[in-house]
Amino acid sequence: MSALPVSIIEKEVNLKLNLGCGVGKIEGFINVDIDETLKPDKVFDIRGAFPLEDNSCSQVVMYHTLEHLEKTFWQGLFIEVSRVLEIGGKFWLTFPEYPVVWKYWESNHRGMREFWERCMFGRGTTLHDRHISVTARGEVEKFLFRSGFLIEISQVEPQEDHNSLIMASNRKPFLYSEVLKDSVWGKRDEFTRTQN
Amino acid sequence: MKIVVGTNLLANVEPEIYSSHCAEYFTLGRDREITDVLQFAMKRMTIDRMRNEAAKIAMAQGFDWLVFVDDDMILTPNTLRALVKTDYDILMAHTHIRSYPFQPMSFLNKSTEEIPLNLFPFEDVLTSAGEDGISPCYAVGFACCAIRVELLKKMDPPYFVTGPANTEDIYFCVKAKQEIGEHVKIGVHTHYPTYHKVDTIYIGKDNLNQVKSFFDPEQGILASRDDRGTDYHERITCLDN
Repeated sequence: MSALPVSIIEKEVNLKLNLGCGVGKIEGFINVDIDETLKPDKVFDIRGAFPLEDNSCSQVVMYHTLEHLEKTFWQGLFIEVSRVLEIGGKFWLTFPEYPVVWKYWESNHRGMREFWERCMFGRGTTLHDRHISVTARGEVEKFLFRSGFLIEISQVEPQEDHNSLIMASNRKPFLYSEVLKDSVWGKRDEFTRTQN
Repeated sequence: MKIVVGTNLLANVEPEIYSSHCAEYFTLGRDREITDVLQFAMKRMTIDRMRNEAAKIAMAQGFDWLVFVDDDMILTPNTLRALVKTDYDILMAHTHIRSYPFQPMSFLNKSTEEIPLNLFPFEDVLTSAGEDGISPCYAVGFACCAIRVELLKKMDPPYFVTGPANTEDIYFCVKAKQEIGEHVKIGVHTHYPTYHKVDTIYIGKDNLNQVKSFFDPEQGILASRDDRGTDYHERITCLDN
């Protein structure tokens, strides 16, 4: 399954992508951002097609990027990630867990109301540094599942209990009927590989 | 010796604060020199009004000391008794302001000819204390303090006024110095630290540095979380091992 016809900029395999890197560059990764002033390795808009071939990536990470994208783009983004990731490739995401952040804001947890407000709405240091989607693990898991991912890890982010972490593996070929069959017969949890 | 203790109650008082204050009243009651203790607490009164009303009662009923204790302070045992047993006119238990950078609630006047009133937080309050544990200063906050009623009698009301650039406690200290004279003795009793409530923790001299570093805008929890780079990635992905 190929993407829309775009010019392919990378023809290699086993690439590692850091989507929406901001100023947090990761060594050994292709750091991607829409804002060229942040000097990423590649500049393109992840809401559209990725200029990469199918199965060219072994790992994709999106650290605190999802909340900066409108929810209407999530499904298409995850499908694109699924396309460029090899089978079994890993997709790491971290994002604010809004129900927790809201609870902390309301209770002025640790006297840090300003911090919790920034968690909800972003710092606003640049045009794209704003949060425009509510992220929560349950929501994100649903989108990932529909895009062909198997949730392997889903938990609170280490050392930051107001953030969540998901690691999903790409399980193409993806046949919904296969998953449904397993679920009906009780062999697997619908979203994860955990045995019932 | 007769004492009025004024407390401004906002809403609920934490159990540990209630216990601390009750223990203080018990200690005051057991002191033979102290013959009367009146607790003055009105709900949802502005801080100015509470202090002024407490002052009126103290003068009208012949009390010797006017003590203020806020409803978000845990006190070291025997604090209130120690505050009324000195020759100081205004004496505060060692307290920190409850917002970053948690400076001591005491001030020096670094005046010049051009600027006769120039108040600075008294950062060296602990190291400037004498053998009696008291650091003299120009002005103090009234979160936990004792004021000699004789001082009030020499001043004109209103005694406590919050302005656009001042709190009512600093206003009173400056007013006392200006109306009565520079010989008014104001100090901080460093042997009796208090613990001021900041959300779910209490800040005092023992944990000051820890709490400050936690809230530090450069390094602490409020610092910008821009760096989700290599170290962050390694911390996250180690969960897969």
